[in-house]
Amino acid sequence: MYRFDTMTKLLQWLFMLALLGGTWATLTLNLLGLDPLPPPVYQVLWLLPTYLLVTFGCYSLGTVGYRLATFNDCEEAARELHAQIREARDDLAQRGMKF
Amino acid sequence: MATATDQVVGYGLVAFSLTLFAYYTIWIIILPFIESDHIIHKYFLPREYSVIIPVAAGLLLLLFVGVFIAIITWKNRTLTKKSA
Amino acid sequence: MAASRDKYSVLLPTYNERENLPLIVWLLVRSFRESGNDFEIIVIDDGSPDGTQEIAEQLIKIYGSDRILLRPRAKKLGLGTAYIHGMKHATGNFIIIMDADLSHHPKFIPEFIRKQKEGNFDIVSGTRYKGNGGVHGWDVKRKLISRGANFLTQVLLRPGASDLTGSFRLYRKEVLQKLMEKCVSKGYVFQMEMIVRARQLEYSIGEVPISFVDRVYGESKLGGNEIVSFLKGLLTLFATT
Repeated sequence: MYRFDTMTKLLQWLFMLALLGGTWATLTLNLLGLDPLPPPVYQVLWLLPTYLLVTFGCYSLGTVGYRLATFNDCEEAARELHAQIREARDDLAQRGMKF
Repeated sequence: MATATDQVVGYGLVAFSLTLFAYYTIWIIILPFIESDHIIHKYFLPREYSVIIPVAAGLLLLLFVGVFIAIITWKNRTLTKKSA
Repeated sequence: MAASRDKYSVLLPTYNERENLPLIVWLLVRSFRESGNDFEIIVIDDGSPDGTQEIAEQLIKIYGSDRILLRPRAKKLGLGTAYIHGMKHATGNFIIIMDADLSHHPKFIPEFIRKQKEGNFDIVSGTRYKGNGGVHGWDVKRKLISRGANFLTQVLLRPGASDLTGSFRLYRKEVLQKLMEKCVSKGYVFQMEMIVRARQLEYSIGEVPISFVDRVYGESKLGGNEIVSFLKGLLTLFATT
């Protein structure tokens, strides 16, 4: 028995893509021979893969942008470190350290 | 706290991606359900472009990444040759 | 506080760090003395030509050979093997790995230790991407690349930890030993693989936000080379784990 969580990430992706692709093809090409959906729905269905791709692209760009905008710039930590470096140098020199 | 530059660039990207998403959603999902003589159709290109443009952009991105990797790898090779 | 029987071995791989080594050691010693935890610092120098080892000898004289251990190697052999080498000499039951260039501040170690005890974690990883974590000394381009690379990693590997390329971490000794047997990559990717393998082996991971101050002495680099080898490593892990 093949377990999803022990597959490689690549296989997981391929598996999910195949599943989505299959569902999409079934609906779009009406492979089950159900009563056809209204024409505008098919117009949307045909473009759904591209739409999802663009949506994912937007989501990625937006997330990265938001995380960049909220990425802490640790000015205070840098100042503190510089002060401690001076303190350390003085203390070590007192204990006989030759730099 | 992020710096001012980071915030401008970051929120700029957020605004850009939201606008793009909204515009594309209207184009792909909503437009098919609106009468074809409605004025809103004037603001959108013919439907085939909604595939052509993203595919072209995607290919361009892949090309850019490919060229970048090729250049770096090629530089490395000449560098190791020189030092060898 | 002092009732704990745990001992923490800090592994410091160095190459040309004579400016930074005394400072990081001083900060480490102070941090450990204040928190009252038992510790040792193992300096693994890869034959630096700048006299890093001579500096380490001086530090041993000041702090004692039970606190500072110098375990050099003849030449530059890479990070992974440095950890293996250092671990052979470690007497602590926990190992802390960090950079010796002052970008990782020892003040966070007591927080790592507290976090570890709180959740009985196998690994505690410092993260620049959560809570009060952050960086200093990077321009907007570098931050953007860092955030982008992190996002890509999260999407492709879903690793269950927010900072994969950071190298400020605390490990249970036997966990690190086990992981070292499994990991094969180098550089940035090595740190990433450690977390991915840890997840495969079902080790628990806790996270502590850290501020990363880019090197004060010497230069840190992020060039095309780093980006390309990162991408290669990421895709390798994506296809094989």
